[in-house]
Amino acid sequence: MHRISVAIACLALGGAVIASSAGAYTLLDGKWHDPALPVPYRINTFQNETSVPGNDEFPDVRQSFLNWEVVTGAKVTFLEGPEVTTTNPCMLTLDYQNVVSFRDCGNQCTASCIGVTSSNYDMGNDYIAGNLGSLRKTDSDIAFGRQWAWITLPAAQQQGCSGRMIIQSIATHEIGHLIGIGHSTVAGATMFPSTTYCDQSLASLAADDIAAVTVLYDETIPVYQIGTHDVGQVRLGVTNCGNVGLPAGAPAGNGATGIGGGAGFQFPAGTNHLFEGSFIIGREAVSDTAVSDDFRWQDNANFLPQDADFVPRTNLTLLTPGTLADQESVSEFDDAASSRVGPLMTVGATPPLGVRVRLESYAWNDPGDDKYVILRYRITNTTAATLAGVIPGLIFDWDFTAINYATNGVAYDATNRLGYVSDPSTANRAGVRVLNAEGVRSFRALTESGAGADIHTNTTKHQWLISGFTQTSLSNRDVGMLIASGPFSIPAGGTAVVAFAMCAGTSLADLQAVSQAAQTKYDTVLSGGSAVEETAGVIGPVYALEQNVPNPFNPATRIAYRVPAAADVTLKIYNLAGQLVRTLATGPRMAGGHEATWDGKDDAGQAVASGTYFYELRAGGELLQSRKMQLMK
Amino acid sequence: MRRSPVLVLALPLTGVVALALAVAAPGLATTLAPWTLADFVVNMNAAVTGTVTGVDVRWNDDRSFINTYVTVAIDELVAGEALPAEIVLVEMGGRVGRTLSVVEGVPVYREGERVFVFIERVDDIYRTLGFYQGKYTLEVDPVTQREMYVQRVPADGVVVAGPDGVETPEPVVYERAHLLARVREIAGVK
Repeated sequence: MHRISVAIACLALGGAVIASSAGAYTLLDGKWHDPALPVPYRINTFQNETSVPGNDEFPDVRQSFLNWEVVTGAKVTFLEGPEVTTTNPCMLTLDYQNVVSFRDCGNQCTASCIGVTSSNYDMGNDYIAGNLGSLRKTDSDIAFGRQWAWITLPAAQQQGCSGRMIIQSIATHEIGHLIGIGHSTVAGATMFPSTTYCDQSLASLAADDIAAVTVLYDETIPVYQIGTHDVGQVRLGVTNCGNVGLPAGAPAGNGATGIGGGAGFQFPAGTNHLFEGSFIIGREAVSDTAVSDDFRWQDNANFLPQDADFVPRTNLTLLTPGTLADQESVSEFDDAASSRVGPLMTVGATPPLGVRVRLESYAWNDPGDDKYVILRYRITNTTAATLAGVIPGLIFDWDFTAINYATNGVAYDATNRLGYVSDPSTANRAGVRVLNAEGVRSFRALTESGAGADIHTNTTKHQWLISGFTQTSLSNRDVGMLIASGPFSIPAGGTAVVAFAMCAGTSLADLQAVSQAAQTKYDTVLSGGSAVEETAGVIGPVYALEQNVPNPFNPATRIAYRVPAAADVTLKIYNLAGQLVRTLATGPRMAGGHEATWDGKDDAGQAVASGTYFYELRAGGELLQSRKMQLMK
Repeated sequence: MRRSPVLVLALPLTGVVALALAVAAPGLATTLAPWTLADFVVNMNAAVTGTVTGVDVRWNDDRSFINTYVTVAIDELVAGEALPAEIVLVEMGGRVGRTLSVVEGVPVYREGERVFVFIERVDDIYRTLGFYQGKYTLEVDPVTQREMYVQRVPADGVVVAGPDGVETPEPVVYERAHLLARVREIAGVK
């Protein structure tokens, strides 16, 4: 599109914005996937409609590609194919070829448009992913408006330029879009969205442009990878980017070669039960709707692709056998891409929480332990301040057998800390158990399609994370679930640990037994426990709220907590409805360890009913940590 | 989960709605092209107000390109040539099934939206003139209750990232009566 009266137009896919404290570039949601291969392009010399003599404009176009290719630290290269000398391929068409034309065969770059870039994407039959590089870009075409007077950069430098557009300037800008870069707010940058006649500067990349291409094609960022646990009776796909249970077939061509395709979550082997799943993390505060996940974004007006908040930070390593299990994987990702928006996601993006997550997954092939996979997430606070009230979890769209997805049911088993799915067509069950000591903070049954389908935005996801147990079962529909633990208070540089078991069984009783076996394995082999760990060498405030002892209890239990410095502290007990039951401690406390005892009575001295209760520690009004306990009479 | 076959691209809603600005000249915002109203009037076939009654996304006949077909029930011909009571704007891009085609800068329409549009006719096909700059959405100022035409920049590739997250450029805003009167004045319509 245009500029001067002209802004450079482009077409490109939807945009991610990688928040950059220094840069003002934007990144579009899709790049060329295989860093080992050059991006092919062809120049259309048929019916060249520019005013440049002969085909002198084409060397300018080739130089424009080179302008991007020579950037140090960015792994993007190009390969020119045979010239297009016939009518087709036409510009802006889905033809799986990247064509640069000076011929507007579709009248698509008229009026104020001086250059346009169009991109097509294959979202797949079971589009899932939603990471940088998750959409499969099939082709991008560039065309220039024939209504403008054009001149090459060398000619402009040698002969002067008046009232003309410089090809290399406009082409370099449009090629920036072709490789996945949006507009910049830095005046003088090639990707700045307006220019003037005879502007030569766009042909030279500015620091902001270089930063953009370096981030997008960063040689040091691992590609998206999938690993499949397949040693037991269940199959589970894990990734280095937050997704859990990628189905088979997705996302081919995204660099997943060598690790294996997505298995979803299969039981028995060959029967997948997941449409998609993702790690999800948010914070307790009602007003803080910042949520990071790789699950879908969907509201009433739009069906949009995944939130794509996570970025791979290491390769995924899958070992068979592993050190602690018959099969293990390890990988890391962070939520640096949480601020992305674009035409596919135009609203509601929120800043990153600032966490780096290490996923360790474990599977066994021994009878009794071969129907679950344990996922342990180590969540490190990479910010300079304490992250309070952190709630991590998993969110799933189940298709408990793809054929019968519309009649599924979902429910919650509090005793086993287990959310599970079912279908009338089978006695089998699949589910997720929280293994870490904090237990389940929230469980939410979801409707994923059809009548009453839930809206999926950061706001709703956050509400599900913090809302406890407001909707724990649904039936006869396409179901999903969110199951979360916490909350954690993670000091700067500190790490919190959560763990889940993805389980399957031949009946509900079998599923429960499987989940209990997973719990035992976690508690014994994987060291169990939970908690916020300090990173070695990091000095920071450490508040600790211990699990009550005994638990479950009757008639009384002890709660230990620790404060690093003198502070006004409250220790309160709430029921599942969030109502205050008892204030155990309030007022100033000296640094060090403290203990409170709860006798199972409320503030009025009345004995409370059996059930689950939460207790939370606050200092200076800030929620530091919360845990759950069970009163049994 | 089963996927919907059609994607309707959404308007960015995160931008600051500068409704307090009764008149903002186009082109001042960072990412807006400075085409004037006069540029539009000179190049248009017509300028109309209307209501979006349908948005459909389809392949073209040879399945080489996806178009979005926007049906607009015309309320008023502001200037230009006579048009039918209902027209279909053919805009580039959209999603059909697993294929997504996006053209940055192409205007985005939503069903039920009340709009002011500069229209061009190319080969007997109507479309918005000047990409997103040729389209305004009618909104009511929550403070003054006055009707305003607002133009927001589509989010694809033109949003900017700041250190605290995502921002979008300020929209262009006209008082409804002012915009229509100004267009008529430039076009010489009495």
